[in-house]
Amino acid sequence: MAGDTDMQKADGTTAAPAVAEQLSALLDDALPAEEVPLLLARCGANGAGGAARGTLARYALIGEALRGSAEPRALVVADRVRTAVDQPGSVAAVVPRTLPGWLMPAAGVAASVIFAVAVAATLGAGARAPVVAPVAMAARPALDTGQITDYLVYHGEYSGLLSAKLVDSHIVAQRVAAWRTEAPAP
Amino acid sequence: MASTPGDQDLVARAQAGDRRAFDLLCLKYQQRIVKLALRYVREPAEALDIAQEAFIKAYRALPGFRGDSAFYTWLYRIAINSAKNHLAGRDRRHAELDATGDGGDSVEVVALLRDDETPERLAMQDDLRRAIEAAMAALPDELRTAILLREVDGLSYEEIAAAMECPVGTVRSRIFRAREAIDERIRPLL
Repeated sequence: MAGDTDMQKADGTTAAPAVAEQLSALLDDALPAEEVPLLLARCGANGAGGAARGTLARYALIGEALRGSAEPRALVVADRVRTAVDQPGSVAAVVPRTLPGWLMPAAGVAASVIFAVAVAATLGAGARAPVVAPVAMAARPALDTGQITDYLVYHGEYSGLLSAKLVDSHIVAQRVAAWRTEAPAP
Repeated sequence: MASTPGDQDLVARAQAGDRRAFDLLCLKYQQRIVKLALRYVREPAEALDIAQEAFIKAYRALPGFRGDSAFYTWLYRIAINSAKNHLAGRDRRHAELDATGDGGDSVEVVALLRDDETPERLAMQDDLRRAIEAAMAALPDELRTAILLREVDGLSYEEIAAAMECPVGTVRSRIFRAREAIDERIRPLL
């Protein structure tokens, strides 16, 4: 049609045929992934968003009508949601992920490995304490374990969950080491 | 053929902060969610409130959506919970009004007054139905068959292509042209 933009027809209420065909396919889960960015860009263009939105909403309405249960009043819901989402502070915004999706599992594994190594090192040090203690004591000033525990507990209150677990593990390791030291030799 | 991931791509983009993608999901599913809400409440205004709340809850919960189920299945569950919570809240309010002696008939009267099944609304729905029927009757056979196989029988484009012995691209075009023709008829009514 002469005078149409790429985004909408001249009447301003209907998306241009190219966009409308993409919207139709989107409604049927038949829009190729490669076309999604283009469609989103067209929907977000100045003045075209309303036409594209209206077209998609009416296409969905037509489908429900053909199945015998159209609800024209439902056409306002997406507008209301968009208004609510766009208002600053009214709805918590989606926080974009800082890592690509494929890296999220790797980050989880890395955190688990760090935690496991830290725990193993702490427990391992506690278990070997009676053997290496004389050498270590000779080389370093005596440590007040009570003060260290207090520090770790206090610090843990201001740390994340992972740190808190490390603090707990350290305290447990200290107690285990103490029990082993106090226990009579078989 | 290029991949067609359904809602996955839109959901991923919405999770990355693209509000246009979430808006398209709302537009796509608002009819179905309002219909679902209308199974729980009689009053359309309440159903719209429930649907709106469900979409907003979904938006808030979107970062936690892992795609273990389809997006619509997940949204459907949220909408059911919203409807149940709405009913529970309404029952609680009614019980409180009854307990204070302010309830009873007045609640029913308010409900009746808020019911917007007005003659104008009913007439509009009737006009809409007639316009769609007229548009369907005027469609060429291949367009009417394509859109009915899709919307009523729920066939995929590939299945329709097999049934109509034509390429998938033709199916896409036929369904679009059918919708476009129907849309021309209903647009003045909305």
